[in-house]
Amino acid sequence: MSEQQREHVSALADGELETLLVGPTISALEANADLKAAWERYSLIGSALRGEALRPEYRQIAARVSAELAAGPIPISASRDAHRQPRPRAAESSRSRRGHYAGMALAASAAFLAVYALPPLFTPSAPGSTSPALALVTPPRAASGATTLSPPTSSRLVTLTPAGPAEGRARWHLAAPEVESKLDQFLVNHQASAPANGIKGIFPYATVVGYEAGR
Amino acid sequence: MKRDAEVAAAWSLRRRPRLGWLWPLLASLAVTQVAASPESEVEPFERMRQALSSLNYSGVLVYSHDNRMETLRIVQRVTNGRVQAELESLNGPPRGLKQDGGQVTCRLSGQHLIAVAQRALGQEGRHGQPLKARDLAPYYLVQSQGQARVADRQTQVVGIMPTDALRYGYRFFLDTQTGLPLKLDLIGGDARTLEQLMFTSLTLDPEPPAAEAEVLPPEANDPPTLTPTEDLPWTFADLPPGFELVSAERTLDASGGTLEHLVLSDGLAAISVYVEASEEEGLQGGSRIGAIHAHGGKVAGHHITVVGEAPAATVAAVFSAVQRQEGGTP
Repeated sequence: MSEQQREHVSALADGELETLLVGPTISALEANADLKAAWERYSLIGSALRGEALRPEYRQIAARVSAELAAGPIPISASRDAHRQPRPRAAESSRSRRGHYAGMALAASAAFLAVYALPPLFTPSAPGSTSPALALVTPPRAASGATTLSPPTSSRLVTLTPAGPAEGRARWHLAAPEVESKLDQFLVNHQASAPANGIKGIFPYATVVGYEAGR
Repeated sequence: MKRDAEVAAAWSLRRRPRLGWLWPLLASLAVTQVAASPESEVEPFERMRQALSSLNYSGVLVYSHDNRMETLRIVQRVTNGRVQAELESLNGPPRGLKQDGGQVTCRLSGQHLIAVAQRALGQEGRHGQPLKARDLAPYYLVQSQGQARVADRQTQVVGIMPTDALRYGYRFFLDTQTGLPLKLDLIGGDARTLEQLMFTSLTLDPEPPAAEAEVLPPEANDPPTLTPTEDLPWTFADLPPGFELVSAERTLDASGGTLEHLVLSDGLAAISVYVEASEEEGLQGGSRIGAIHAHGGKVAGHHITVVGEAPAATVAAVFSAVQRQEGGTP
């Protein structure tokens, strides 16, 4: 893993990578476990610096890599760097842009975060708090008496809780939160009912769930 | 008129496709068309369908869009033919989705919790039949594009390339051993990769997660009524080539208003048209999430919202084609 590759991954995590470099960087990520581990660390630190709730899966991913190293057959070979102390991404990207001293200052800040700020963020959410974990839902009852047009299974648009204004960023780049909520509902329903989406499994939903407007 | 301008803008693209010379070139460079050899007629879609409906797996997905990358955790388990899958974002605001059989529940940023019914596997074709590669002609070329390595596994690359700029192309990287798609490239009208979804790690047949408490959903709204197309009060004047109405249903939206949902498809791409009778606020003009475009506005006293994974001009053209039909069931 070269320093340049590491900087590209850092820029990708910030959404600042040049378009032409996105494809090669993703390919490098795909092939290089060291870069993959760096990506995990950068995501973790970036989320902490942005004040976002951290998911324990970040640590689980790293722990799994270590466990797989010890266990034997490794689906994705783990990185040498996975055992090193995480280097602050913000410090690295800043070093080239702002100079050595600014980088040291950010590194110190990140070290402070790692020691004092991150542990409470990793604490599992209290019951009832907002979490992406969703309860299992039983399959819907069949629609009785419906006139079948062509697909026997139809979509149904059901909002289980009132759609309130979305927190955070405007995914659709609109000023009206109510319209954003409506578009999200339309989109999820669309992905469920679009005919050929069936062959893509859960992939079409990755766009819905994964998409986030610029940070 | 704004609407006329939208029509003109949409169709100017059809008349003068960007880099139109590229499509014949792509076709000539096509490695092997799937339909060309009988043995390769082993349907890639059938392999994907079998994998998606039978495999237990977990992994980490990366989703690349707009020069950004998001990380998601994915888990699927299949019990007696019932597919249960979870998708969870690992960065940014907490978001997640759970599929349990035919039910999909999704939580996005904030208070959104949306539940919809998933179309069943084997009904991907325009008329509810299993999708076949040959059904996609003449608007797509289905090609075998060799092999590649993804998530430390060998994959067979299948390209579905559009023959014009009115729809996107796809490149599926199917696990050679199982048929599971390990990577999906979304190709834009200029043959540029717009988005990528890719496993960075994959574990097949993982231990099933601990049983979770099963929660009954609250009373759902009235089930949708599937409307025969001849009774539709809406028609389409001049759709982009290849797109046709494949389903229509009427249901209630979250506020109790009537909502009509019409689905158009060219065999692969799908575009939804939502018609609201209420005067609620809705999308005006165009917007997008990644490569998914939406276009909305008022038509004959109703609010129309068009959503689909298609270029902006195509979605705008569908919006412009919507017309109120006299004599239809109101």
